[in-house]
Amino acid sequence: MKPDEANIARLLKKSLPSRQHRELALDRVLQRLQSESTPERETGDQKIFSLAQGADRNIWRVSVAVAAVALVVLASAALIRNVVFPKTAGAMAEVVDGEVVQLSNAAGQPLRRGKPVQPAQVLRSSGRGAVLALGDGSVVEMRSQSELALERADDGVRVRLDKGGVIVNAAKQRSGHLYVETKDAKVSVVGTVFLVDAEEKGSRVAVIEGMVRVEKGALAEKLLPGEQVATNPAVETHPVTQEIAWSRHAEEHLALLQQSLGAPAPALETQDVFEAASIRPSFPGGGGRGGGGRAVDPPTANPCMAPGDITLDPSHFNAVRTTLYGLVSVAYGNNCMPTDMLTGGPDWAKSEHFDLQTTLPAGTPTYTRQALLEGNLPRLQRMLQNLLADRFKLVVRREIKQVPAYDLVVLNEGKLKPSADQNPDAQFSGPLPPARVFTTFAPQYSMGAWAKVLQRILDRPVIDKTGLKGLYDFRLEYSDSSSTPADPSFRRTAKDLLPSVLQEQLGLKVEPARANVEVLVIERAERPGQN
Amino acid sequence: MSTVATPSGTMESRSTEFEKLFREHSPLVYQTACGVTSSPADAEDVVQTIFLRLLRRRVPADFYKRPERYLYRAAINVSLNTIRSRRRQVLIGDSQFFDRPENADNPKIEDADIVQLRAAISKLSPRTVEILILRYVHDYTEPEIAKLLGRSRSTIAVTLFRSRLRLHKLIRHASSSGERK
Repeated sequence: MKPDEANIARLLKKSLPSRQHRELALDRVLQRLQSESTPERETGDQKIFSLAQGADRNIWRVSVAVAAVALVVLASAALIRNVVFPKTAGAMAEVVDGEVVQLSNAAGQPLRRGKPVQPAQVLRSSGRGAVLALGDGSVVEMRSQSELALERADDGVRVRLDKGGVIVNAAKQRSGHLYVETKDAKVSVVGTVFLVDAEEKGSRVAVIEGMVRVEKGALAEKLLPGEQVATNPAVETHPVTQEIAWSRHAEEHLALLQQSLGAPAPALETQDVFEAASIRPSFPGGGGRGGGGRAVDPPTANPCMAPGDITLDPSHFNAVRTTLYGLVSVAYGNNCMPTDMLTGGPDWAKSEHFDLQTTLPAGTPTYTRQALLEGNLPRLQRMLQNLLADRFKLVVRREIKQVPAYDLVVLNEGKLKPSADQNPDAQFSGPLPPARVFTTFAPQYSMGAWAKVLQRILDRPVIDKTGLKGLYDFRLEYSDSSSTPADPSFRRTAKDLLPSVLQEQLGLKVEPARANVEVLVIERAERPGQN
Repeated sequence: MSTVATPSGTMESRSTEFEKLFREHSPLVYQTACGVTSSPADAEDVVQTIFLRLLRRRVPADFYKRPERYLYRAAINVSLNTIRSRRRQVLIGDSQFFDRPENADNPKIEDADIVQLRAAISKLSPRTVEILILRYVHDYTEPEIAKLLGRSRSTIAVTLFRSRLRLHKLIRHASSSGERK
């Protein structure tokens, strides 16, 4: 072996653990994977899909205006059920708005308003999409270029969604169910409003009102308003408020969602608690009380949790030097929420640091730190919510609010570099760069994932409106020598310069806009007492 | 890429087959990930990510022909993603990442040589890293690598030679720029 080779081999092997350590590590992973594969009905409370948005249906009074809008929507459904539908024997539905093209039977023939839809007829919506009214009064709104067929199920009606998205306003079922099936998920409902997207990589289901049950193989998940699941981690999720933006009834759906989020909250599941927990103020240097006073930062932008501050193993979840804002952000949504999306509470909630040490109950499925920071560990998040409610007397509510945002649009597509590997499985699924990152190379990112990176830098919601699919290698060069990433002024400088650099180097533009987003408001919080 | 389901059958039999697959191939994935990331904690995450994909029935159509080949390639790709994302955090992240060791779980493995080697590896292509790890972590000979990856022996030898040169250059560059600072 040549000297170079010996050195490289030595360094590469230096961090290889012993056989015993390796076996222990692999046993831990297998244990976690096996708990992952346990169906919900066996464990009772263990959720198996990734919850992109947890919804805390909290104290929020229903406004008269919102109720009125909801009544209009329900009245429309009733009108469609009683008056419009169906005039043709054997038909399962009728086109009530827009146009669909038949892909089976009379292939290529359009079906316009008033035309009946026969069972198993495969339809594709064109133009601005289409609306179908079913015999039971349910209404299915198809996004443009979506493909579906209506079929009779043993106990109801099945919408087989092959491609695209639908928003279903399901009527109360007297008997039986309404099902929506994609290639990898089955949604059953009895009276609710929800949306389903069928993509190549997997499916996504989000609830606007009521409750749905989503099944994937032997696994099942119940969803409440504001919650959504993806059957595959590679499927990008966006806030429900954005998911419904394409609908011609987007405002009504938004009002319904707002109303649903304001409904009284069900009690948190009491079995989701840590076996033991300790919260105490952090002290500079992390060495206990000998290091001086409490660790405090100026209360500026929403603080984020750094991955290095978190320890997560099968029996412990610990976090050091984190603020209450950081804990709330991780417990209820995603790490590093923009300032406008997490508000309220006392000033110390943003500035005072705490150390959290917990012991997880036996059998808790634990995953990676990154999954936690992205809001994908619902059970652990519920434990954290319970702990915060107990120790900080925390009260949080959710509401839909219009906040300043940016639309991400494309000006010059030629400046974008598509990734060499466009396989959806190759999509970057590891941790996103942390907040305040500016100069970066982000290989194999979708435009939606890139918008999330920009959101962290700009500290505002960034809505992907480029319409571009596929994966790209994003590279931004930050060449201002007046500040470094360690410099406190760096973030402000990066934020100011980003729009022009983005346009110049990537042909993308962020346009100031306003967006309806789900906002977390801390209504009450107290400093924790003695453990 | 088309995907296929993992073995069908009852839940119990699927679970047994999955465990068998895991026991057989996870050491290869783990060792590979350790070699690339230099971090047992990250390697554990890599193993979990890859087998979670299998559990969720997302495998390419030809997976069962040569599972070790798919798993090895996946281990390299996911490990590279991990160190590249960490590199972004450390090199260009905000100041909070500068205050503490990068890998608080395993402080002892963070010596300067390893950090530099890992940074240099993250700049190589996945296919080059595949060869490098097979050679220097799994101790495969050049003909064995050529057979496993379906390439000629000379291609493997040239790739190894060039990647050593490149690593040497990247590490030297990193050391000299570190000294300048």
